[in-house]
Amino acid sequence: MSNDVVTETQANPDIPTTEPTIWNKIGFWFPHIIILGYAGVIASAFTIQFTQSELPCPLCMLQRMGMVLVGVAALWMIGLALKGRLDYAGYMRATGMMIIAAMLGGATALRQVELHILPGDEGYGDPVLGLHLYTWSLITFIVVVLYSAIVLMFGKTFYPTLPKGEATRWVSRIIVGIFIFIIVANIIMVFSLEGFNWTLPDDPTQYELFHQFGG
Amino acid sequence: MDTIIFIVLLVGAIVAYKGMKPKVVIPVFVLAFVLTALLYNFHVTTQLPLEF
Repeated sequence: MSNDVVTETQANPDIPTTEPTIWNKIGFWFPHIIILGYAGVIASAFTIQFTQSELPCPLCMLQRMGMVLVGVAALWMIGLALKGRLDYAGYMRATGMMIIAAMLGGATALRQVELHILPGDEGYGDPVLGLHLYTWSLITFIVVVLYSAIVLMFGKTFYPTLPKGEATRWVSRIIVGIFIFIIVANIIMVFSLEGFNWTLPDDPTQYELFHQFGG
Repeated sequence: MDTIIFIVLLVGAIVAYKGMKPKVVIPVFVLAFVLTALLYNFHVTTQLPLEF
């Protein structure tokens, strides 16, 4: 821990200096589970996209944006906790941001579920474990809202505190690195899919960028 | 627009992970949120080419 962090921690009465409990440690890993989970979901969507040539529709892309937006809030909590600058206000801000982001993502997923709700409609894409990807997406957003609401109900109990040890920092960095890599991969993929158009077509059939350059 | 939003999200992720102050992180988050909401609004209000 650097001298700057110690000074800031001592100066801010809202940063606890007591020994972290098991709940604080669990609270530290929860945001990691969220970003790792979403990285896994988006990586699975990439796999389906490239192995089955199933291009993501605009609503699928909006759900990915919602997932990354939830991840941004989780990353803020992680970043502040790693630097020893996470106070109670920051913890609540980041948790509130996760709820807002999950509600937006959930709205986009719900919209897509509604589009395929009529009997006989086979839905968009192939189901995974019996449910379509947008239905899974809606479930994950509901889980994030529930998780955030529950940890807020418990007040300071799940306040994230960095567990001791350099290994913890490295595991945290690796998880964050995977998530950032997924965002960068999304930028490259969406740019190749959208090209220089303003929006994606309702039912994408080709990578617009290659089409625009290939003629 | 999708590409721009993902770039804003990447910037948001970096400033968030660096543990920057709320006056930096929250505006980037709100910008990404508003752009995503506007794009969502665009996609759900455009008319589908349906014929009955």
